[in-house]
This record gives sequence, structure tokens and C-alpha cells, in this order.
Amino acid sequence: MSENHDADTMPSAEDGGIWSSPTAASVEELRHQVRQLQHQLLGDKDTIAGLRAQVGTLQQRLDLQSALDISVALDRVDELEDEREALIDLVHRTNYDARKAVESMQASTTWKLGTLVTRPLSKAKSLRRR
Amino acid sequence: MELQPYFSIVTPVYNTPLDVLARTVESVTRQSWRDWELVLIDDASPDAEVAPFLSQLAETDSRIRVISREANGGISAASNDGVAAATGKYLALLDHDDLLVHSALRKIAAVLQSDPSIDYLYTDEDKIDMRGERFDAFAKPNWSPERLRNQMYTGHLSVMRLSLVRDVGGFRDEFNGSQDHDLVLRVTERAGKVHHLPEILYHWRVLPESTASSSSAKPYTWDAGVRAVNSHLERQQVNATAERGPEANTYRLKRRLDPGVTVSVVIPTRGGEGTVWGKRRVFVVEAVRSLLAHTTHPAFEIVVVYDTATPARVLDELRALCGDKLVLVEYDKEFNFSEKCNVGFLASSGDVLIMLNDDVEVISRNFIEELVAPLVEPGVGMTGAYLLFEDGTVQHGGHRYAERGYHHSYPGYSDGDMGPFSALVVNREASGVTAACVAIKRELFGAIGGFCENLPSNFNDVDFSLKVRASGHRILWLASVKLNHFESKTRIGVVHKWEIDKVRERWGVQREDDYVRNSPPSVSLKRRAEKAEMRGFMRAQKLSQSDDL
Repeated sequence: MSENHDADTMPSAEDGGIWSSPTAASVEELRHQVRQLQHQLLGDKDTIAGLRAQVGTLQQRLDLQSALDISVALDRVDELEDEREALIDLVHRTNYDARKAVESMQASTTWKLGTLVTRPLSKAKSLRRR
Repeated sequence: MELQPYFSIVTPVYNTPLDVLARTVESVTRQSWRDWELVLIDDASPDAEVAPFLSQLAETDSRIRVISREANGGISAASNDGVAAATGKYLALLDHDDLLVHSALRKIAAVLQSDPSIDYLYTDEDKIDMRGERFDAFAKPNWSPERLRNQMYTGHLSVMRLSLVRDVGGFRDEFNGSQDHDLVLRVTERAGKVHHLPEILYHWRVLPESTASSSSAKPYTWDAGVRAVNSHLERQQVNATAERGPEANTYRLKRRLDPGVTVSVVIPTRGGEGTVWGKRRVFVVEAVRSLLAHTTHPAFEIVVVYDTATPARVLDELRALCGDKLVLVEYDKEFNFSEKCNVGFLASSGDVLIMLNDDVEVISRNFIEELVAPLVEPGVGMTGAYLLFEDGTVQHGGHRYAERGYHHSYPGYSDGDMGPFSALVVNREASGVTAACVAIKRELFGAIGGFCENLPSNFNDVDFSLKVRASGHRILWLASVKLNHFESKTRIGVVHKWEIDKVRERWGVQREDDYVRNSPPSVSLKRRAEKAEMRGFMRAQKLSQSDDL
């Protein structure tokens, strides 16, 4: 015996059957529900992808932390600190040397004589500028 | 762990100035790594001084071997003699006038020891002039097979498994000038693993006549490169042909898209309008008009997801423009770009989706064909386009995820600029692409859950791109697909901390991008001298301190 699947011969929901006559409105409603379910599924997949990514990120952080040898890190901090201090010293020494060089040059006889010679010239120049 | 990798360094020599050659050889003999052999192949140099000089070099170190060719055979033949004579596990290619960095082999050996599955390794490089001044440092991208088709970017220093080089048949004469590009294409087709060591370990000597001084100095190299890429495409069965690119020694792939592939162009809009170049326009209408004018692909639909407030005349105009290609989907919620894209996806039916902002204007030909065609290749998950601001400056040259943030790469460049190392004129892999214009296969969009609706405004494309990559796919940025993007006209660029936090929560903090890296400034002679002086000073300081103790 062949089954008849014509819509109008199917038992309706009211008759206790699982099929109801699909009107245009109900088809549209079903489509809408399917679309909503698909949308929800899409969101769920995004959530899964996000959670997977989060697990990966946390795992990486764990791996990094467990691989980190604190003594190596502290040694590096010490090294950087040493370098910083050495650089500050270098700047101070360079400044000191430069200052000393200027002072010793200004204390020399040549400088003093030169100043004696050039001072009148400088005065004359400044007068001319006025 | 790999035991002591042994390197065969192969260097064909032809009439090299002796002082330059001496420096090249010295850069090898001074290597801190001891397990190497240097195979020098004299390709019948007419200069009578070359042969005795090579013999003299061989006497200074037993690891130096000299092969003398009876007749000149060209670069490939000479290199193949070196490959045949090599006894190492790895082949390193060194040009006769270039220099290896003192620690090059030691650093490469460390990488190969930690991962013996690497078949091909390349490093960063810079150039060096006759005075010894270094410049043009090239911080290369990590392995980027699409870029290699568009440009021989891996260059120097290239180290490859010798057995693999022999398996693929070594160098090929007919590609002289781009013989290294041809070889690397063939090696990487079969390589189990390709690795990029992001350190400058090679100085490429610039002589007036060398390729390093000007890419256009040897035009025959360009045509040899075109042939090499075409040969590669044929082997890989890619439905495309290569031709000369917009700059010397760059190549452009012309891919063909099966007309049967159905495409859905999804455009979220609220029907906004504004003034561009002095004229009023309704953005979505002009976006669609430009799209229709720049494609001949037959099988596509345009899915417009419009806010309820969109003026009816805008929808009427779209209907008139698109006819039966138009699918209109009303969206009646608060602004959420991600959700609008997802709603568009659910209403679409194409094999491939193109997500397009409404404030763009397509300006390059064969828009759909060029954007979609690469997706046919296995492994390519998503493609993106080259976007320009209204003033002609670069809006999007691919994403760059670095320095704890998410950026567009190459800001400040203008349309027509080549970009650093031709980055703006070659198709290449990118960490991500802007959702203002992307193409993705329907199946993949669904599998990764579309756009994250918890990111309604910013960074949804960053998250989307990262999901595509996490699914094992590559993302391509296509220089050949160009659009104007009038972004500032339709959007107020406010970024919230919670948005960044949301992306970081998933993906962690991005420190260095895989593909767009900042080139370190080349260290000048003066700076190097200063650094050396400082090191000396530091040593002296330490010594004096130990004396005190």
C-alpha cells in the first residue's frame, strides 16, 4: 500500500497527527525559525572557536611561565642594571674630562697670553657692534 | 636533536675582484661555527689572477675546496658543479662578493638542531657598499608562499637540505638570472618545513653592476623569473599565468575563475549618504554601481542587509540597478556590524561570500574574479583587497598584529608607491584583512562561526581573521584588487578598551607580526664604532671592578 503525502489528506495536528496543513504563513514562520536556529548555531560555533583560542592562549602562557628560569631572568636584570650604571658613569666621566680639559687649557700660559691679546680686540668689536 | 649540522657553502666565482673575493672567503673562515666546507667554483674566469688566487686560498684552510671549470658554463652550471661536489647535509648559497655575518652558521645550526624537519631556511639580509656601509635592511616576512610567487623575497641567506636540492635536479640553465628563484620554488614545493630566521645574517655587496645596486640593472633576470613562476604554477596545477609585475623583478599572477562558482556579495548598510570629491552620493548605491561596472563574472547575487530606517528610494535604486541579482534583508536591531554580516550570510546562497562595506568603490577590473579565484587553491582561506582613502593614501595594505595592538600596515604611503621591498605591489600572505572587503568560502565562514557578535563595531575583522588562520588556512592580501574606502565619511572611529580586551582574551597579546615586520635600521659604520667603543669601555669597567676585589 502506498502512502499518500498530499497535504490535505494528512492527519492534522488537531487530529493528533504530527503534520498540519502548511499555509504560506506557517511555511514562512518555519523558515524564520530555521534561520534563527542557523543563526544560533553560527553563534555557538563562534563561541567554540573563541574558547579554543582562549585555551591555546592560556596554554601558551602556562608553557612560557613554566619554561621561565627565574635565575636567568634575574641575571639579565643584573646585567642591564650594570650596563645602565656603566653608561651613567661614562657620561659623568666624559663630562668631567671635558670640564678638566677646558680648565687646564684656560690655566695655561698660552691661553692667558692669548686672552691678553684678544681682549682689547673683543672690546673693540663689541663697541663697533653697538 | 640534530647532531652538528654540516654546511656546504657553494660559491661560483667569475672574474671577481680579488680583494672582494678575499673578504667573502674571510667571512666564511671567520665563522664561529666550525663544521662547514666552502666549495669555490671557478667558472673559467678570463682574469688570469683568479685561478692562482683560489689555489692559494685553498692552501690556507683545508675546508676550502676549489673546482675549476674548463669552459665557462654560466651560473647554474657552475653552481651545479658545487652541488655535485658538496658533502654537507645542508647547502648554503653565497655569492662571490657577499659576506656572511660572523655568527651566521652558528645561529642557523642552532635552529636546525632544534628542528631537524626544516628543509629550507632563509634569513634576513641587508646590503653593503664598497666602503663597508650597510643599508637597506630587509626584515622579511615569515614563510609566505604567495609572496614567493610574486617576488623572490627569501633571497640570501638561503640554506636547504642538500639531498632535496639533488632530488629536484639542482639549478636549471634556462632560468639563469633567476636560477635561485626557480630552485627555491621547486625546493619549497617539496619541503616538509620552511623556516624564517629573523636576523640579518647576510650582507649583499653592492657593486655598480650588481643586481643589488638596481633591480633593473639586469632585465633578463625579470623574464627568467616570469618563466620560473609559470613553471611553478604548471607543476602546482594552479589555473593562472605569471607576467611581469609593476616593478622590476616582481610578478603578477593572472588567475582564472570558473564561471560556475556562485558568489554572494553581502553589503550591510543603513543607506547613508555623504560628499566625496565635492559630490553627494548614496554610498551603498555607488558601491553596487562600481561593483557591477568592474566584473564580468556571471554567477553572483548581491545581498543587502539594510537597517529599517533606510530610505525607500535607496532600496528602489538598488532594485533598479541589480534586478534579480538583489536580495534585500531587513535588519531591525541596534547597530551590530558582525550580526549584519552573519544575517547576510544566512540569507545568501553562493559558494563564496564577499563581505563588502557600503562606503567603498571598486576601481580595479575583474573585481569578483580576482578576489575569489585564489580561494580555489587548497589552504587559502580568505582574501582581502588594497583599500585607499579619499585622498589617495593607503587605508589598508593588510593587517599587522604587533606591539600589543592591531593595525593596518603601510599607513602614510600613497597609491602608486611600491612600499618597502615592493610590499604594496605584490600579492602576499597577511595576518589578517579588513572586513571592508573580503572573500571567503561559504563552508569556512560557517565552520568558524562567522563574525563574533560580541564585537559589534571594532576588531571583529581581527578576530575573524585570527579564526580563519587558527583553522589552518592562509589569508592573502591582493595588491591587484583595488577599492576606494571612504571610511571617515561613515564612521566615527572610537575604540573601547573592552573591545581590545575581548580580542586579547581570545588570542593573547600580539607582539610581532608574522608578515609585516619593521626593518631594523642598518647599522652605520659610525654607530658600530660607537658600540664597539662602548663594549671596550664596559670590559674595562668590569676588569677594574674585579681588580678592586
